[in-house]
Amino acid sequence: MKKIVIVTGILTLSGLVGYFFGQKKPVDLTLVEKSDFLKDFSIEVGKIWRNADHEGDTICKKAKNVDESYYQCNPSYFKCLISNSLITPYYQKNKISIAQNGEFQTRVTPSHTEYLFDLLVDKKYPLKLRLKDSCREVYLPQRFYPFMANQRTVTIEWDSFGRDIFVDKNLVRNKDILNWAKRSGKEKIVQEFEKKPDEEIATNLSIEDMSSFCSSQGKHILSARVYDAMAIHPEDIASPDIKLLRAPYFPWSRKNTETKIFKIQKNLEVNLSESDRLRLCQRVYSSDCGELDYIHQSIESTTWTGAKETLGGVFEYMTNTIHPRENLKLSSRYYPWKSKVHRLGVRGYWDGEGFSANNFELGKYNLVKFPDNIEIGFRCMRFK
Amino acid sequence: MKLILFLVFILISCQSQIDWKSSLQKDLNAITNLELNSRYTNKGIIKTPLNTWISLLSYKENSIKRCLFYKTPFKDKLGVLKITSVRKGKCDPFAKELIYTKSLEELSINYLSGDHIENSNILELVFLMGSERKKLEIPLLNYEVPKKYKRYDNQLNSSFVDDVAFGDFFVKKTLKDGQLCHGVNSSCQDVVANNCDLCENGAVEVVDFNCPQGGSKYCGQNNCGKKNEPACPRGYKVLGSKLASLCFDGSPAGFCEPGLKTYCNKKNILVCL
Repeated sequence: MKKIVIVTGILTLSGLVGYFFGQKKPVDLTLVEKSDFLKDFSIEVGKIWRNADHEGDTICKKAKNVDESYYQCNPSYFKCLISNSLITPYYQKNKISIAQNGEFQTRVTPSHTEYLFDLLVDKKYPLKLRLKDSCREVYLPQRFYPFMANQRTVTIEWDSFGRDIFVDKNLVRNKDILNWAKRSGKEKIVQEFEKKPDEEIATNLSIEDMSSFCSSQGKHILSARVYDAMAIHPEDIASPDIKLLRAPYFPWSRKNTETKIFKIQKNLEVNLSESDRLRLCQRVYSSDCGELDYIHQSIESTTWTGAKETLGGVFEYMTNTIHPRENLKLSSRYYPWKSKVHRLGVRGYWDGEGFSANNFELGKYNLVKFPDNIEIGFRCMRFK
Repeated sequence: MKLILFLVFILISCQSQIDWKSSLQKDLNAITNLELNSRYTNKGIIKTPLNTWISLLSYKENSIKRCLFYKTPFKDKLGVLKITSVRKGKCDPFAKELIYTKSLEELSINYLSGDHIENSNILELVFLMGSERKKLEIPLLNYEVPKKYKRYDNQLNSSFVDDVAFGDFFVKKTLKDGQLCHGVNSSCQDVVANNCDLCENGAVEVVDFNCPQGGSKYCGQNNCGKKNEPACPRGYKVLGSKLASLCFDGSPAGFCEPGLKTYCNKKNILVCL
């Protein structure tokens, strides 16, 4: 009994002394004020945000025909993970709960887009978490580049040394346009894009609107020169200072003859299995893909820089100062694989005035029957 | 009774030691606008001048400037670590203060940067406390520094975790169209440091001097190559030119639309006419 009194006395006394001494500085930090908690939490949350491969997350992956990368840096997906209690960080071997107060907020700055999540950690501690979009742009390495003109008959040399250029990894999506139109008060565009699926490619905006959209993020419409640079595989990736500017036709190989599509274009005998066809449709979605759905942001289409969706699918508009009448990537679902239109650097012209046949110059790649619903996408680039 | 008092003393001492380090970590780990004193950062043990307040770093918090000071030890007086606050102007060691500890020596302050999360953007304080050498690591969660970019990199600056930060949206000033956001002079010095990230509508580079960091940059939409607009830069190595300036009439350093030629204007910018 005596021992208990002494021990209790010691504890009480030390507590009291600690309390009075601690008035100048708070003794206990809350969980979210602790440096080691925030450190571990930011590393763990960053991985989930950027990789989107969290265990048990299938409940939040609902979009159709999209590559897994669609969920990377996707605030709706991240919100879904929180709502379903799928993000439970550990702190000193204990699981901590995370809940969200209200909706996330979005802020578009000239350098990046970020999202603010108002969290409640361990049911007690408020924490404002900001997640920045690190998944949208890829860097164009500093090196010599070829720029193809006149349907690849002319090669213009240029270099990006001393310049930091970034390119959108994918074509701009409906959701991006809808959010921008809401922010900019463009009611007509809001009404049009509200009806469209978020994940699909945003098409058929005016050049002025494309430019305004890119501008709003501190960017410009992608130029044909930078398109070629990010898509054409260099002869020697490891040697940026060497001016070896042979430009292979396809983004995923340095040797044309090693690709199935080259053999198709050369009318050579090709043994195309079903899996080969599926793969080729994800690289170059052409009129041969017929009943197969377009896979958005497919990893199969990745170029040497990490950009995607460079051949097939929809037409892509780009600016071209040196050859203004070559501003449209023609490789698209309107042509079969055997057409040589499916080669990097092959371009046509769009006057930007409308979407009927007389607004286009397709040269030797004229379409026998011009589609009623021709689609033109675009992407942005940044000079940092 | 002596034993009880001794135990109480031990308990209090332990508590206060844990406290100042945790408090310092808390106060520094989520700060923005950090400025490290390059004279003392990564320069080893701070010994001199003796018995003097040295400003190690400063940062802003809700329009108040806070400064971390270290008073170097002198004779039997140990080193002191404190943060002072001022509304405006320079750091003042005698302003309103918050003392963390008065019992350390042989302090060195290091900023750790690298490619890997967990060992990058960390402020490290190494010090001697009693006979024990200790290390305090403070992850600078909101502190951003420019990156040297490479293939597959994203456009964000480098921070502890590039895409994660804490606290409310941080409002930065933006630059209007036409403003110079990166100025380069004829000696290839940056007369205006690159802050083109702040341009409201993006930035464009112009052709002026033959410099490894490229030409000067202005805020605005990209109309390069069009009539009366800057020429589109072709690059600096591709020409193999040793001229100090690439701005002269007919210069091949810039591209223009068909039918236009390059001319050097009065501001020493290559334009298309």
